[in-house]
Amino acid sequence: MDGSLCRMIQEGDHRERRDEPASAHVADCPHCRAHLEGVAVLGDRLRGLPASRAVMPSPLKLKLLASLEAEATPGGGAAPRGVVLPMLPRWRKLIYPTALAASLVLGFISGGRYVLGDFGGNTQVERTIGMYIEDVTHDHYLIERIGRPLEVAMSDEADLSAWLSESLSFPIELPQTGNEFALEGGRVWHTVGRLSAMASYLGEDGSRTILFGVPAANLELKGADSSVIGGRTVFQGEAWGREARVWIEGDLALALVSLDGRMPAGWSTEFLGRVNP
Amino acid sequence: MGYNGPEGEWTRQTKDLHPVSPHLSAPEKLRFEAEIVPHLDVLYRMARSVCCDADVADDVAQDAFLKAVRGFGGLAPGSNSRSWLARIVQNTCRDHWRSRARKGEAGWDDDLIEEAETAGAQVDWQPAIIREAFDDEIEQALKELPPRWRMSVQLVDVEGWSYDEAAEGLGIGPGTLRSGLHRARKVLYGKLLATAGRRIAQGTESRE
Repeated sequence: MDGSLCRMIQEGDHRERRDEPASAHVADCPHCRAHLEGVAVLGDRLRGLPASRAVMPSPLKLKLLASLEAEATPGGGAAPRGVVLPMLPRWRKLIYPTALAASLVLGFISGGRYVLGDFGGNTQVERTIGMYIEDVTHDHYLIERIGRPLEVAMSDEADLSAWLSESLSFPIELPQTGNEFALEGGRVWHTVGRLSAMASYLGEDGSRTILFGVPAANLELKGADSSVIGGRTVFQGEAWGREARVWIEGDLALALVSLDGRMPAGWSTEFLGRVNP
Repeated sequence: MGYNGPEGEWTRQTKDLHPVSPHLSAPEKLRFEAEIVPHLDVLYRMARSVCCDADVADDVAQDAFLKAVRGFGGLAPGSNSRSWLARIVQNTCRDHWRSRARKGEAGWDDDLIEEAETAGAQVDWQPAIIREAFDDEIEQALKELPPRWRMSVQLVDVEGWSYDEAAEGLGIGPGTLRSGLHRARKVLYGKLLATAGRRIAQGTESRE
C-alpha cells in the first residue's frame, strides 16, 4: 500500500481529482475504497437530513425583500403611493419607443397614463394594461433573468391557493386544472408597497401562462377593451407581444399573462370560468 | 413619482428614477434581485447550520442580507455573487460566535477544533456505520463540530459546491478547505462510530 498516495486520495477532493494513478490505486486499495465510499455515503446522508432541504420561511423571505425595497427607495422609507417602476434596463430603453409605437398603432390602449421624463423629454405617454402588468410584476427578472420563476413548486391547486392566500392576506382560490394547463408553482414578492404573487401554468404545447396578483392601486382601466367572462368584467391588453387579461378583485389586479405571445384559444375563458367562482 | 389628483394619472420624473441616497441604485437592485435573491435559501441553510438556534439563525440571515444589500454596489459585475454572499454569511456567523465567546460561551476558533479532533477516528472507515446511523445521530454529530467546519461541510457536502468555490466563499485557500474538510469528516465519522458502539452496547439498535 502506498501510504502517501492513500493520504493524498483520502485528504483530496474525491469528486474532482480522479486522475489515472489515483483511480488505479483506489481499485487495488481496500482502505481508500472504503474511505471514498464512506465519504460518498456521508454526503448522501448529510444531504438527506431535513435541515439540508430547508428553505427560508416565507415570512422571513418577505421581510428581507421588503428591506431590500426600503434600502433601494430614496429615504429608505415605505414605497410612495402609486406605482414605483424599476429603472429600465438599457435594452428596454431601446425597444421602448418601438414597442410603444406598435401598441399605439394596434390600439391596445387603456386609460392609465404615465408621464415619462426620461424618454423623449416630457412627452405624455399612454400606457397599456400589459405595460402596467409588466412593470409591476418585474417579470423581466423574475422570469427572464433569474430563469427560475418559481419560489415553490406545487401542482396541487388547494395547497398553492392556501400558500398564496396566507402570504398575501387575501383569499385566492385557484381553479382545478387539467392537462390543458398544468399548475407548476408560485412565487410571492414585495412590490409597490404591497405583497404580490404569481402562479405559473404550463400549457400542453409548452407555452407558459402566469396568473399575477398585483396591487390595483391607481390602475385606471377606463377605455380598455373588455368583455364579461364568468360573470366578471375582464379587460384585455398587450405589451411586448404578450397577451394579458386583467380583472379587479379587492385591492388586487389579477392578470393572466401569456409569456409566449398569444394566449391559447379559449384558455382565458376556460380558466376564468373556473377561478374564484 | 407622484400621484396627481382625482384623475388617477401617474407621473414619473427623471429625478424619481435616480434616488437621492439609497444603498442600491435601481439597476443595482435589479442585478441584486437576479444574482443574490435566488440564493436566499442557501443563505438561510448556512445560517441555520452554523448557528443551530432558529431565532439566532434568522437574525444572522437578516444581518447578512442587509450587509449584502449595502455592500452590493462594490461587487464588480461578473463576479461570483454566490460565493461573495457566502463570505458575508460566514463573517456574520463568525461575529456572532465571537460575541458568544466574549460572554464565555463556546467560540468560533481553533481551540474547539483541537478538542473536536481528539474525538476523531484514526481507523479504516466502515460505510455501513454511516448508512445505519439515525438522522438525529448525524445531526448531533454535526452540531458538535466547530462552527467554521460546519460551514465547510455545509457548502461542499450539503450544497454541493466545488472546493474552489467554497474556498472562495469562505475566504480560505482550497488546500486549507480540503484539509479542514478531511478533518471534519474524520471527526464526524468518529462520532458516528462511537454512537454506533454505544447503541449496540445498549442493545437499542433495533429501535424504531
